[in-house]
Amino acid sequence: MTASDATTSPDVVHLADEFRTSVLPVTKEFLEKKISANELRAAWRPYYYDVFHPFDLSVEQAWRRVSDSTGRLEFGPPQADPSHELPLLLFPVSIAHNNFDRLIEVLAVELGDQTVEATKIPERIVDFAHVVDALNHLLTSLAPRP
Amino acid sequence: MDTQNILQQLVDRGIAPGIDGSTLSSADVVKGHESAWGGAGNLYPIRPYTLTPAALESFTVRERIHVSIDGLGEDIVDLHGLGIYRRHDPIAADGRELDWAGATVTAQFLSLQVTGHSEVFGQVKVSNSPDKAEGARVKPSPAPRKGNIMPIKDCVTSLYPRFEIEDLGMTVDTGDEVVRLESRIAMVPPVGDVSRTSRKYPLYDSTGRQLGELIAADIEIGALLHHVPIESVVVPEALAAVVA
Repeated sequence: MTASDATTSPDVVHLADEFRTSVLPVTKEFLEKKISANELRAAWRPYYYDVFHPFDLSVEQAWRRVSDSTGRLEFGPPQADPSHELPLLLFPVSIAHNNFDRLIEVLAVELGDQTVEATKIPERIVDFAHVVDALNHLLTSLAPRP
Repeated sequence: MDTQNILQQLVDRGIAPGIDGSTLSSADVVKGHESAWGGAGNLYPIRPYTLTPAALESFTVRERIHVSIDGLGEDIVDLHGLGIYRRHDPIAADGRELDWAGATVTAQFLSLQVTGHSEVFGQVKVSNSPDKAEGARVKPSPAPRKGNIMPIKDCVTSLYPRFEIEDLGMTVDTGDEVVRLESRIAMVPPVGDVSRTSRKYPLYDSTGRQLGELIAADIEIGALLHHVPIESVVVPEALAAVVA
């Protein structure tokens, strides 16, 4: 993925489809003790790097286009301009994915090749289930199924 | 996916010992401040993917800690409070113009105060150690492949937290060991960010005797309360050493 590859508008429908088909089944398998934390991470990373990051770059570029941002030093909060609506609407998708990546990383650090039943930090398993659910709802609200 | 069913199955299978019905509510889950999840008409107070000048900033903080204390037990405690930091001028990467993708940003923690209640520990207050260098560093996230451009940055927060535990009657800390919490961010200050520890830390009393363990800590950065631009500020040497 290079900068020139990511000049299209953010395609949240494609992202949502990939999340449903590539990520949701794996998260379910993880919670059902069928795969380890390392296997979860191995399955998540191609989606994170090859599907989500191009999307994230397109959100960044959409933001730059509508706000005339260069990414260099700028002052003050974003202006309440209707043209900012699309990238800002999609920005929660970026934050949620990045937070989820760190959660999967710490689960892999703790559990490695073990499954969820070995956890000593069960609250993060609860976080995991809630984040998957919330992310799925968010993507569905932005890209309803036909 | 039916989250509640999955969570109940976890409890039923004993995978989540100590997690009772109330813990299954979303109130205790760390998944990012609600402002990060957007909503109709939501506009962020921060420009994403953009550098801003040095500033003093205060924001709401939620911290969830999982702590074990000898003689008292183990509990997960939800704490809420405030953080204040001094963010320094961003630094450009070698041979590159100052821009979001290449820059490094550091911030010095001036104050962190969060409070919560535990049935096991009584009132719990967590604060920073102002006499020690503490802060955060935001730097370019390593790309998975050569030529990739990463829109996000890695954020590492380095703190020496102090835990005032009512039923222990004293304050414990991690001694000289800095606690590191990491996250991935796309704006500074990182509203909506969730940073998490990846290892345990021993907890000591003032004589250096180990009394327990910080098993895990998860921090949500919430609402930005104040943003006060300040004159150019460089990174103090002591802080640079800690966040290096």
